[in-house]
Amino acid sequence: TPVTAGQTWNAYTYNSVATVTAAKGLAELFDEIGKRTNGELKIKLHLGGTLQIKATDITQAVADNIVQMGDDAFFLGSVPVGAVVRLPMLVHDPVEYQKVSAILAPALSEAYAKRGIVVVGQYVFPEQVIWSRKELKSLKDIQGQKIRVISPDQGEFIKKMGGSPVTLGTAEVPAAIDRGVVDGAITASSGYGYVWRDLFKYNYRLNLGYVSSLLLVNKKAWDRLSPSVQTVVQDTIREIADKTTRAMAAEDQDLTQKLAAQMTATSPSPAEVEEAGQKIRPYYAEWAKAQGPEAAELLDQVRKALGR
Amino acid sequence: MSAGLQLIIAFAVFLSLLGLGMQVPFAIAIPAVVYLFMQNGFDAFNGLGLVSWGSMDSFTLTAIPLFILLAEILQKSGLSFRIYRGLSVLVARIPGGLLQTNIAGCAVFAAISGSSIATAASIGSVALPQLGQRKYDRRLSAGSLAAGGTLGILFPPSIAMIVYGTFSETSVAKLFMAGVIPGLILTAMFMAYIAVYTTMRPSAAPAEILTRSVAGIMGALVDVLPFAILIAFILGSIYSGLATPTEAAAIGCLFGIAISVIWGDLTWSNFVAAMHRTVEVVGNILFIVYAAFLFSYAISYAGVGDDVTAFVVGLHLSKVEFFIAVFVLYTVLGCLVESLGMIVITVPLLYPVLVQYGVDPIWFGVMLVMFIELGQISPPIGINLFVIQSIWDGKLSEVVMGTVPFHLIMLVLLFMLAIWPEIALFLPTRMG
Amino acid sequence: MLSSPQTQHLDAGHVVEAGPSQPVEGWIERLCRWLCELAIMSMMVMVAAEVLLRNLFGVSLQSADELGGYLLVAVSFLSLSTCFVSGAFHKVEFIDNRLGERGHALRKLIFDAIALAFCLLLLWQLVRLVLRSFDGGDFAATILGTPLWIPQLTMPLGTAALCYSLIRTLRADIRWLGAASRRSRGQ
Ligand code: NA
Ligand code: NA
Repeated sequence: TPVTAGQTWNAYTYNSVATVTAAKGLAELFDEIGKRTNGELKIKLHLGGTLQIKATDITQAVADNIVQMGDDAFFLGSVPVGAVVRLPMLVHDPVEYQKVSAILAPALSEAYAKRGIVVVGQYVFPEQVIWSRKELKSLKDIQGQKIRVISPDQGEFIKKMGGSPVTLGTAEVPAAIDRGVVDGAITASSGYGYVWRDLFKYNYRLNLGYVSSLLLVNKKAWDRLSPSVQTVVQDTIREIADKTTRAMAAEDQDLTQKLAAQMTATSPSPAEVEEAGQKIRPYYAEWAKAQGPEAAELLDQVRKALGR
Repeated sequence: MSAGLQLIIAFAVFLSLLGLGMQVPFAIAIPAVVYLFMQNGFDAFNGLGLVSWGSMDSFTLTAIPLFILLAEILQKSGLSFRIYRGLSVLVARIPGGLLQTNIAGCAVFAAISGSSIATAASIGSVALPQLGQRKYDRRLSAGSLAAGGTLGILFPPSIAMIVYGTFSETSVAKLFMAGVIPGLILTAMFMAYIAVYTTMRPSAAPAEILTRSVAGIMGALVDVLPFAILIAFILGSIYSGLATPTEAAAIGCLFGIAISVIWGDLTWSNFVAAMHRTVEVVGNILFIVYAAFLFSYAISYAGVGDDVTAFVVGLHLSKVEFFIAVFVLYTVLGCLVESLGMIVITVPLLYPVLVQYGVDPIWFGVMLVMFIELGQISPPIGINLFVIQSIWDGKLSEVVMGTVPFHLIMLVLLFMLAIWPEIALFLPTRMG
Repeated sequence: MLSSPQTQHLDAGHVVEAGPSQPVEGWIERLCRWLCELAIMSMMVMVAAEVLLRNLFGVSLQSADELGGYLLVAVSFLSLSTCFVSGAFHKVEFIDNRLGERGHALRKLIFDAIALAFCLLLLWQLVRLVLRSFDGGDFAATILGTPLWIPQLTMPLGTAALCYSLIRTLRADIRWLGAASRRSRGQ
């Protein structure tokens, strides 16, 4: 076989744990791309933290061609319009997420195109729920609890339910829960729910929504690929990213069951889901107003499609 | 140019600059950019901006300036002189005298700080001037502080254990418990060494004045009292859940100012002098930390850590051979990469292998922290060595030589942990 | 021999000698130092306020860790120039004693020039970062929503101040080298 002068890309992910499903998905993806393009494109994965570039700066790193590819779940500071699908209690199940994601896609691509980036795919994390070491079996139990949040939206939700949101770095959370600096946190079972399992006693399975991670490629690097290679890459990404999403959902169910054996897990009643939705809904409009007309327009479309 | 040759050149540049008298942080940062340039020319510099921002925009690092400020205020207000005057009376009967309080102080401070740099720097800036004036052995003073600082990540809270727990999906609470007994043993071994050394060479620790009178001992207790209250306040705020360790640095600092006004001689001009000195010490330490991040970026950019680990994993060794290889790997990496970078690079690759060898992840976490501690006091980039050297006037070689015996003691503990894993696992297995 | 070329002061009980051709603190270095002191005090007051508010009133500022990080960046970079002129960055000095005055002066000139080259490279990249953050409109996805170029600006400013100090030092180095050469010829 002739030796082809292919390209080698550096890819960076926010994920610092090689053994989690999302990172394994990336490793498989880059392997497959290497094989299916006959070595025309090799992608080297750098895990979160190894390059001293922050998770929130991955969009900038791809835009500046520091890495050619990024796996970015923390893009809101660069492309705020993406937050529309993450508003608390807006999206209730994976089918709804697909619908909303399709509505958002053109706006997302356009915002990224402005920064010289091509969005080539995404995978979706399982539902975000609330965990605590204090009794948390109903919506009103949130009252008075200090919950660690990772976005202003989540903070707003906890506030509206009568709790106090606290922001802490991920590394500080275990000690903070252990000593009662915070009572609980919002995360998925297959996220930190499992990692911090010994610190929590209650899991309130109110689904706050879904978080996606975008696969980004620097436009200049992308254009250097031949159209046929581009097609292969695009197809491989779609296939394996979807597979990752499904694998994470299955894993989440599995872990949720396992964790239910060591702590009190409660699913909210439909009335509680409705009540939580009612309380947070006024915030959607506030959010859109702060983001400008384009976001407001998108939110309108999304709410119409979901009927909420 | 081959990857190995590039790394060797980067190291040669580092050692030459350091040896020929370049300021330490520059001597670390400049080879980093040279190494980047060898890999990918000017394009490799494009990441420097985001890397600078990503390295230093860190709330956890704020504990460093705040604890240094606390130490400087205690120093300038005359409180640390009183503390050491009191302590010297109280420890006069113990061989090693105030050197023992270095270790004890580091162990206590370790319980409030998650970082060995903060521990070494804070206790060091209080202790070194006092030890110097009292003519304690310089090497032993510096070495005990550089090594004592490493207790900061063996006792909980420990930033290194939190990061490892996150990476390996092990319980951080159990990891914290696992560090306690090894931490106590290491503290005891350090103290025993100092006792033996100073008994054999009495000149290393000048005899403190023996006081038998009740008034003398009461006076000493009164001297130590403010510090005891301060430590109790900081520990209390953390263990009662009022504050995270980083936050405790801030309220401890405020409390320390209050104590220095009440018990000490904290005038406005003393306060200004303390602030002035704090900026110098903090600026130096943070520049070294920043330079270490740049160096670490250059190494990760090359993927050297990945290659080395993958190589070890690919050898398919027996369990004992594997451990010797891991030991060599961490000793080498410890000289090259700052501590968190070491975890990030190796644990994800090694962890699946550990599972195959049937290694307990909690036990390995404690071993890993010990390896990191060794790395932090190993020349040439053992960061604690530079930190200690940056807060006094001694030679780097004095710090290095002073640290060697403690290095050996840590190796002994490592072997003990390898033979009796229960040392680490006793507490966690008895946890709920 | 390792020493800090600081003006005479008692450090760890030992007297440290002042080094040759070290410029004194000028107004730029002094301003940087004041800003660092202000940043450290703000850090302390803000974080203490967060702890008090959370424990007494059950409210969190939710911004203390974000602002604390920005202040740390400011301290890290704004301290560079003042630390440099006050000789806070330590070095290994055993070679200088063997070089003689002229060799010592020449070594210092070369190393300060290398340090300046490094700082200019860093300055270029940091300015580029701030401009890109500004153009891209990047902000922190937090309650404050801070535009990132604002806290990032302290990095090139601090580095520029260090470049200024290095240039002043280089001029002093050249004068010292000239004087040392004349002295060595005169002998
Ligand atoms: Na600790
Ligand atoms: Na090291």
